[in-house]
Amino acid sequence: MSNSRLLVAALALLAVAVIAVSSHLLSNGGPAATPDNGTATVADTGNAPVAGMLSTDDFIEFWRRRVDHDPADYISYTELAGGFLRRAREIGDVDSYSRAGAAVEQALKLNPKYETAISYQANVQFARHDFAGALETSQRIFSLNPGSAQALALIGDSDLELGRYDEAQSAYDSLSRITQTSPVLSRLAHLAELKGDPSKAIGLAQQAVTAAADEGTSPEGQAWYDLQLANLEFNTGDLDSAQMQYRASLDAFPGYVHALAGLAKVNAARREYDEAIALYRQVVARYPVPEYVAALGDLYLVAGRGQEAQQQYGLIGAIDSLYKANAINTDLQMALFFADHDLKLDDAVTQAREVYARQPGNIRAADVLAWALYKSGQYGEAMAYSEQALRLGTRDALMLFHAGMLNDKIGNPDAAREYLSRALQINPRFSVLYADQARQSLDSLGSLASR
Amino acid sequence: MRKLVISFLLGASALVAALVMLTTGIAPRLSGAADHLDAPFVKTDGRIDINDVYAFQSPSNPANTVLIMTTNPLAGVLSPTTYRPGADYRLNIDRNGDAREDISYRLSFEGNGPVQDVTLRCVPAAACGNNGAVLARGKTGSTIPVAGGGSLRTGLFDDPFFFDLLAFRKGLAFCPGGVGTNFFAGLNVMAIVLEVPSAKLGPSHIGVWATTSIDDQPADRMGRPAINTVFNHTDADKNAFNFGKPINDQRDFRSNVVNTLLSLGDSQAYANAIADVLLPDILTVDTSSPAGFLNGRRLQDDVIDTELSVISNGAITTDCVANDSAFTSTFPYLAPPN
Repeated sequence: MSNSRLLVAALALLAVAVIAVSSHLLSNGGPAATPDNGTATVADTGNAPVAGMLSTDDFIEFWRRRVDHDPADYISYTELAGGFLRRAREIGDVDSYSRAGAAVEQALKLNPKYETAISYQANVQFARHDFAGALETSQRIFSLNPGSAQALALIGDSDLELGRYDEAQSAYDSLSRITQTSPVLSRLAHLAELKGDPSKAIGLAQQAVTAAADEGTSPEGQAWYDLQLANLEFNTGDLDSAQMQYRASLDAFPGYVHALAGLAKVNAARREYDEAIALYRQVVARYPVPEYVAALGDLYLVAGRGQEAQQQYGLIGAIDSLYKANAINTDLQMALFFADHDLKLDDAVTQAREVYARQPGNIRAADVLAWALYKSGQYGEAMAYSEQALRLGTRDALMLFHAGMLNDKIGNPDAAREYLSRALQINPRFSVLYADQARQSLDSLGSLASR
Repeated sequence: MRKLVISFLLGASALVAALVMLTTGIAPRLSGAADHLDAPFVKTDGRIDINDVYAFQSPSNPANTVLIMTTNPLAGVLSPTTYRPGADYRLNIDRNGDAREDISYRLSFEGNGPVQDVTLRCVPAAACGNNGAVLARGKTGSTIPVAGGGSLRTGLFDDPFFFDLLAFRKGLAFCPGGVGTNFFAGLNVMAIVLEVPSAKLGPSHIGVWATTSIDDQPADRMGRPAINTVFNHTDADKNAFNFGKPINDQRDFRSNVVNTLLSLGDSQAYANAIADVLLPDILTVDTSSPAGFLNGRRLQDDVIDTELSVISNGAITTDCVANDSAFTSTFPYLAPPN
């Protein structure tokens, strides 16, 4: 597979993506993507099995008809934007975000003061990783409408992305005094995870799963809560519970790509590489974000299929361009991918720095920046960002692994042992690329017991 | 208070508030295609959102009164066309003008399918005089006889409400070019339609309001159209109103009503007089009279036009929108769903 062919493919894809809705259009380079073995397509499952509810496509069509009928109907433009945001969540296509943005813009042109439209505008900003803009917009809503749960949630979400964890906690706490519904519980769970309390996080996520069912949540919504719980369980190394919960997620919303990716992760952790590869192929055929394409490549790599791995890796840049063309930022994923694979390390550092500059104090940005700096041999600076990344006490095996490798390199064997063993203790199979490496490094450092 | 049937109500029905609440309930925590850590696009559960309350003498039997509570704005578009299992839906009746419920018709629903089981009770048993017996039990979408007389029907119907929501939300810019737009034309709601002998409700002059709650936690409350929507301007106040009781309305929300009217250019005396009438938020009805709004509220009553006149002190007389629904003169009176 030559680079020029990939480039041609990428440019063609770029062109169609602007008008295309389906991410199916992204082929996987060589042979066409594997058919879905009878699994319902995501678009099909938009026909929600909830009594009397419109499918996502019908929902969009409903509001589109209304704006066609009355082009001055800013409320219907706003709801249309909501439909595109819903579809973006469900199938992750880049085009839906653009369409949502355009519909919101039209609504605000017709009535600049319509609060729901303003809040959707904040959502679009957030989706495009303009977190500072989303924060400003949601704070403006809150100042006009104190008590707005909508605004508080967005304020907390934006603060969290901007690395302002105390502010995020405060916004979420205010939110939870207003209501204790599933979206609130899940946010509290997320923050608990970041603050290094996985059992609290799992408890809250379980409550969110139950509450969502009571609240008449959409199939995709329910699947998301199942997914969050499954991910938390996976991150603690509880593969059996995670697998069950990923399956529950798929039951709620058949064909849900994130749940498929979760099942693939479980297979991969169990070294069931063929199963994991088959699942990831389904995932990237529908939802080709760099993270998943890289994960598929990594699986090919550990399964000894190097050529196919390189094919996947080769696609990532083109895919990234596609997202960028739709103003969706994947810099952090790209930086992590480059760093993981010792590719374009200067770019990795630059991109991670840019993300960190936009989201100062964000622990994931700090972690990726530290890892990219480590890979490029800038250990001193890497240490500073690693400390930033770990400052909340997050029990994240990959972040601890990064810290372990870094401390090993700069001659802190005790700290390196500590971090690596904690990573493996949290989740012995945290990464197909690195779990074994963590074990080997730990062995060569000498076990903790022999100290 | 209920003799002063000058219901000075402006603006929209609770449906307006509900629509806004639905779409702004909780932020979708949605992020770029690149991320999937973000909480779903979740909204307020429309199934427990009250849209409107109606109370009128039965057109088919003057000895009966019809009580209707509509819920679930844009049913089927924004929320499933069901009732929330385990939630408590109530039509509350004040028999003596003290702004406290003397009896409540309480409905509960079970099942998650398109057809649910519905149970109707009257509480408290002593005041209802029925020893706590179940008054009706059956399925949604079917007419069920009520013990002691009358009928119950719950399910999906055409939304009876009509109003130019777009103009309202653009700062009361009604009748652009002499024409209004009924935002609610062609939309559906869930409705509880209960017809009972008026004698069961109490004396001829009663007050009516609807509430929803979950596990005894209040979710929504409404009597006359639009009180919460029009006079409370922040979600903090709107929530406090929904969670509150009519008996406290004068204490808690009078200043919001007065200030809103003053901001519209009304005099202090006029604002005070209207606030005396509007709070507590209870729909008053003389069940011996077939008259409509300002006596109770019939389906076809253009409550918005009446309210606009009052609020604007005659400056605005209409939103240029008329009823679009084909109501019937027989139970369940509402038009079938669109």
